[in-house]
Amino acid sequence: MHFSTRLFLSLALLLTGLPSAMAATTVVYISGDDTDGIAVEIGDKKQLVNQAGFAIFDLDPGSYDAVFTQFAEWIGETPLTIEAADTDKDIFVEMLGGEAVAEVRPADKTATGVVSGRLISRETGGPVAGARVGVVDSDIGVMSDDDGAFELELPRGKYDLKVADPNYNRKEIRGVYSLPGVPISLDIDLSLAGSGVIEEVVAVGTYIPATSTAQERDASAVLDSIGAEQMSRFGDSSAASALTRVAGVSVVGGQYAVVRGMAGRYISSTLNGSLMPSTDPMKRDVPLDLFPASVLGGIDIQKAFTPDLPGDSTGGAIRMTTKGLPDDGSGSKITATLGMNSRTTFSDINGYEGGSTDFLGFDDGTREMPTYADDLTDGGRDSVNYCANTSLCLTPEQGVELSESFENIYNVSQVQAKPEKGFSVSTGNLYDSGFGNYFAFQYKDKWSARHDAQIDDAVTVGSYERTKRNIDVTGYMAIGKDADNWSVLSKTILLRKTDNTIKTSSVFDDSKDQDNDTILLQWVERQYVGQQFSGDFFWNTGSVEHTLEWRAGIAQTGRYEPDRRQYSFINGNILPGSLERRFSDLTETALDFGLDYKLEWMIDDSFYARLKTGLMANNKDRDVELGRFGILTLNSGADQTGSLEEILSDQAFENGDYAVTTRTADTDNYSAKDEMLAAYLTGELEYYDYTLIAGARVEDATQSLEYPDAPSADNELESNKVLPMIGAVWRATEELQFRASMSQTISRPGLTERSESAQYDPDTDDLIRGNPDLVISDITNLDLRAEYYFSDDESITLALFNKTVDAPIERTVIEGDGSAVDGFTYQNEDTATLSGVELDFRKNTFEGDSFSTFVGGNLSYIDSEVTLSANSAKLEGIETRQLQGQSEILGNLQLGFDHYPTGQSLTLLINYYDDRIYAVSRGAFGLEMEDGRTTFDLVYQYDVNENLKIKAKAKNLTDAKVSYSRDDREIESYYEGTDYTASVEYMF
Amino acid sequence: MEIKKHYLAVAIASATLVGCGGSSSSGGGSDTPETPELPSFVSCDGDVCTLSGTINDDYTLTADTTWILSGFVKVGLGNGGVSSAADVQALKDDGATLTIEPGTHVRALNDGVLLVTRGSKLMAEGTAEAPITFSSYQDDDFDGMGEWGGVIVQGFAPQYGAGNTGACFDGNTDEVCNVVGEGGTGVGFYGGNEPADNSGVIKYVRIAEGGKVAGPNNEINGLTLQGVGHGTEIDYVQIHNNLDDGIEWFGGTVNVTHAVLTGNDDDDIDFDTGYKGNIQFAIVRKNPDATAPQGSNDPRGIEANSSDDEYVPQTEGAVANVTIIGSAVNKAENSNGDGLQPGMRLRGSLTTRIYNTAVVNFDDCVRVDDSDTDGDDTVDDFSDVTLVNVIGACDDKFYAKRDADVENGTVGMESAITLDSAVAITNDFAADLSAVSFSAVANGSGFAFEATDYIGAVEPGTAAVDAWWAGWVIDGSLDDVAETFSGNVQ
Repeated sequence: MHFSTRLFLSLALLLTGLPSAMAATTVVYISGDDTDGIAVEIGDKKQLVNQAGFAIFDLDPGSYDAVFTQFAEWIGETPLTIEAADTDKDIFVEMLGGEAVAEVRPADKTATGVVSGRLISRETGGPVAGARVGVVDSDIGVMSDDDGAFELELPRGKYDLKVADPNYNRKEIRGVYSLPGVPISLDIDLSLAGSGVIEEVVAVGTYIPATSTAQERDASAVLDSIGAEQMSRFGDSSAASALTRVAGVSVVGGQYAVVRGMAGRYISSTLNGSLMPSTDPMKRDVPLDLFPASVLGGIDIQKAFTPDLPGDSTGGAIRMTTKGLPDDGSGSKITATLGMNSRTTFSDINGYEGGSTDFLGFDDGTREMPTYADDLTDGGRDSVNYCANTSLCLTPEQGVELSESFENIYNVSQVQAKPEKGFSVSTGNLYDSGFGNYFAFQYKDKWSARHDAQIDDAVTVGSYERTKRNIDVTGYMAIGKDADNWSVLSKTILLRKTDNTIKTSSVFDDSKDQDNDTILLQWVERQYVGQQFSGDFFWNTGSVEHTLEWRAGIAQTGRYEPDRRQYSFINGNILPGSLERRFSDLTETALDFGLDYKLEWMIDDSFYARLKTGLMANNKDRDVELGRFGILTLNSGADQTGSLEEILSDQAFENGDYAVTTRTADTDNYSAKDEMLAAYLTGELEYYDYTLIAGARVEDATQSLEYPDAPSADNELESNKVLPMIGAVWRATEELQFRASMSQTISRPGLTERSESAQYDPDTDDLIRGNPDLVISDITNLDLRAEYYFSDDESITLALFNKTVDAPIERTVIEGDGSAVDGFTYQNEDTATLSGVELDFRKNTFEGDSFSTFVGGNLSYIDSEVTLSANSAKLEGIETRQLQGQSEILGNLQLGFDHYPTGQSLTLLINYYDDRIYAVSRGAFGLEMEDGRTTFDLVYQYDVNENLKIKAKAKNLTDAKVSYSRDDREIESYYEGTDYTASVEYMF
Repeated sequence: MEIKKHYLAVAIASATLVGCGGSSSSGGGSDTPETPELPSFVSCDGDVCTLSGTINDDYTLTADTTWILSGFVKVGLGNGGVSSAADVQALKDDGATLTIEPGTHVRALNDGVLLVTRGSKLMAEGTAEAPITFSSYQDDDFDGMGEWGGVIVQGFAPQYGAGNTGACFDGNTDEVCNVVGEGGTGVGFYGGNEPADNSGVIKYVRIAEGGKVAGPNNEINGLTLQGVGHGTEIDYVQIHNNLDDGIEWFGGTVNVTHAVLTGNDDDDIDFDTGYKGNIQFAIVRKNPDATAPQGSNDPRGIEANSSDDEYVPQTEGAVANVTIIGSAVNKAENSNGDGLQPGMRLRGSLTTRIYNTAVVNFDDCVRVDDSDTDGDDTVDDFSDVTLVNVIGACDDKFYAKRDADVENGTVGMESAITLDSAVAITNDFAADLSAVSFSAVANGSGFAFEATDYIGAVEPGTAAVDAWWAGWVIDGSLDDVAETFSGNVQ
């Protein structure tokens, strides 16, 4: 039986239960196979024995009765006398026929005990030979043998051990107790990769889940975990790329996850337990590329709903946690990265005149809306009119000043793409007092481009060039304290991602018999700033353990897109009237509060109960400010030759040829609120090899939308939902377990999807008309999973699932005409059903003295069918289709090779996603599909010595083409080249 | 279980509330208030009165005042969504009528648009002596382009979806429609299943210098007719210097006679998405001085339907007595050396019959396209084009692509076509034709074409001052029209 939480708590007791100088230390050691649930009560103190069989008491002189219970049932007792403050006692307890037979001995402070163990590589599961295991602050130490085994003979006492190996990260194990006549066994896992200073929990005595596999195994729900060590090993740079390694998960557009064929509206994402604000003006989804691996401690993808999750966790819940306090000691790390792209770096790509601080990812004000324009037009919202009547129109002087207030920068030039460069620094400390901290800073500057980009759709044929410079800046700080039975943690997060995009496209429009050239200059700063406080507190009453966890956080996301410029040419003639300069600024503030209480009770030998209940309050406020400016031709005979910079000169404005005007739509600006109050209760009952879980969540949510310039389009949606869940686990053998669950979840319309009015897609300018009749979809989920564990880090799992969505919300074709014909709307379709199977495995294929290999991977097959509503069926010209964004087949394969003597490892990663719907189409026209794609990545790591590590990575080795097609005809394609990066890590 | 019950009750209550909403209108009043107190949508400064917001009461614009359109001026609230016959009736009951007196000059600020929503009416009935004019307030001339929006009329007549998705009312409760139109975010919904719907009268009306509204994809037509029924009368109308099309019909059944379309940057007569109607007597004249479009436009005289995947086989238009005069603006080349626009582009699997019509000064005269509806490079659905007495004087070919399905009378290229100052064709072959019967589109209106025995918009031999357009069109818009155009007879 695995109760991970309880094991951790016991461990914490052992590690932190330092002997006090004023009291005698009594060590209780219980030997025997079944020490589960044994508690020792001496005086008014009571402890569960830890997994190694220890309980340690600090006792004042006096007479006591030491009482032993197992699952709250008396199993034995013994008198105990502490004569003086320095008379330590050892109590040896042997379990004989279910009874505890105790022997009290005065502690012999000169006798020695034996501490032995085995060193295991976390990556390979194999032994680590030749590592030194020593006692901190002493000369005592031994080397591990070929099997990774070591043995230390130490006087009675408490020690901190240190493991050092040139190829592995250092590791400290604190509070190991050596007791004469009691063999102590430690299995210590070492990590080749990982984050150096910040290590995961150590296994002491017996099996404790430390790896992601173990975490999965012990979860009461279907869970996939990605630990920091995996992200490092697989060379993942952000949450988005790490997620593609998980069975049944794909990522669309490098930003948005699709879990089990279900996109954004069916997924919940949390960071350290808090619901996050979004940076997307049209979506509630959180773009996952925003979260760099450098601050992530791990990601859990729970694919089955449990009541402690948000009610929209249908496809899954993506739970990201940032790094916490280091597990041992203190250390720092500096990393420098240099990279290049096989096609992009040093080639000529598009550029334009930007600001002086572009390299920092901050616009210096060059792109800011001119103050004059902002003041005169209320940020572009007020109309600008030109006429002789100054009570209705601007004066000529105002017109000229408005027009000239904008930077005259439109021309695209060719620049040479520079190599990728980046650096990061981190430092962490954990003090004996339990106080700790961790700081990290990261900077990255990467240039990328689409090469050979071709378009060949229905009536348009041509090519485009899109180049992007991306600047990431990350700052992170965690400060906290771990005490005996409580901990507090403060996490401060700053994430910034800036994209400077230049797209020039040149297409021939067959329906118009025209060349259309379009130029787009776009600067987007996305930012996440968050402050979170969290903590936990635990205590025991009898055989009942209580845990209280709380969190409170405030976070703000921003998407600042100043001076997006777009203009076009027809048949080579520039169209000044086509110019749009757009300034948009989205701010979303989220307040999040959560309280979870857990009760674990050993009722008796065969019954174990766990009760969880909690509250969550979340409040999100979003403001979108957007202003569009354009050009009005005042003089139809005005000169229209030369570049746009020449045409829109100050002189042209002063001559009255052209003038700047506003083109903001009345629905461009909005504010939205999303409030949720939720409470849940779950009970978990274990009976021998069976676990039954049942619970429910109540969610009370309100979302509202307000347009200051179009109040008639305001919208509000309130909902109260009760979401039940029931599940069971059967542990058929130690290695094999089965899980089943059934639950109900919901899917809410997006914030703007119920808007009564039309909006424009920020990327495509497509018209998007909301549907005020949208209702919440109800989903019934069925999950089955079988798991077989070969060893702690080798397993195979098979999962089956089925989901029925009533009234699924789909983005569909609009009943539109004219230029609105390409628009989209949202519709509650009749039903959607999804079923799928996922296979996930990891196997160590070879384990030798000097090297080992492993193979891991997953494969999912998902079949979905949406039965369209009558109206959608009419417009799309089909009755049924698959869900948008869902691939039928998803696969991952990882092949790993480790060479121990030199500390080198090599991993080949293969990722595949099948064709998926990119957009639906009107009438007889086929669906626009994103074609399936296979990518190969190679990651190499070399631990030069204790302080130095070298990593090299090749991403997209085969330079696989990205393509979109319709009715099996390719309509768009491009290449992104292969990324090669190398980094050096220095740890000290 | 009490908690659950409570939540269920609230859930039901909130679900019921969600279904409510919708529009309300002040309704009532049918007379223009005579009192000095102005309705909320009017503000006056001397004899300059500004209209803004929603005209939700009957109102009259008088000729003695300069009327300014500020922003999106709506007549009625009919562009909201409807879900039942009762909603439709409510829109009609709440409809407003905007009456414009003859000789009135309505001038629009740069952001001005007039939108007449379904259930409401525009009664703009000018006279030849005192036409009604819409133009920009930016300047006093009519030379500009894209200086304001345009006039949009919406009705309850049927529309058929691009891509042959069928009638907008198919499958809907009470056969209601909510078609999203072009012209910006404020345009809203139109359509229904009432071919005889009446949106009022547009007669002796001139609309100049429009074509621009806020938002992306933001060019609009001079006169946009969205689902307008044949109960509406449109006769003697001029669209001048519009940045987009002259008149564009999106579905609907309204017939149009006596149209003068001058200097427009895109197409002049453009009917799409299931329009079923008849057009007779129209002069199309491209700006003789323009060399390339100013907007994102592909200027043709007549464009019907859209291409391929946006085909609408229900579109059926009958057109008679149109004279289409091109200029350099429709001969702007693309980088391949082509891209020259034809005088008419008839496509998207439409059915059309064109009678007694002439095309001059284009590269090719007529282009007929069929539809490759699924993008596999083969034709899936054909257009059905009948040309009767259609002649051309074009630089290259008469038919740019394929021939018409049916030809009757004189069809093809002439070596030269001469227009006189009345915009009548002086060549003998254009007059005294043997009688042909014009087959009107049976849209329920009972429309009958005026039998003509000549080609072109104006009867040969008419004096310029006696032509049907004379006296009311914008000054200078048909000046210097007399010219001989040569055709490339092969």
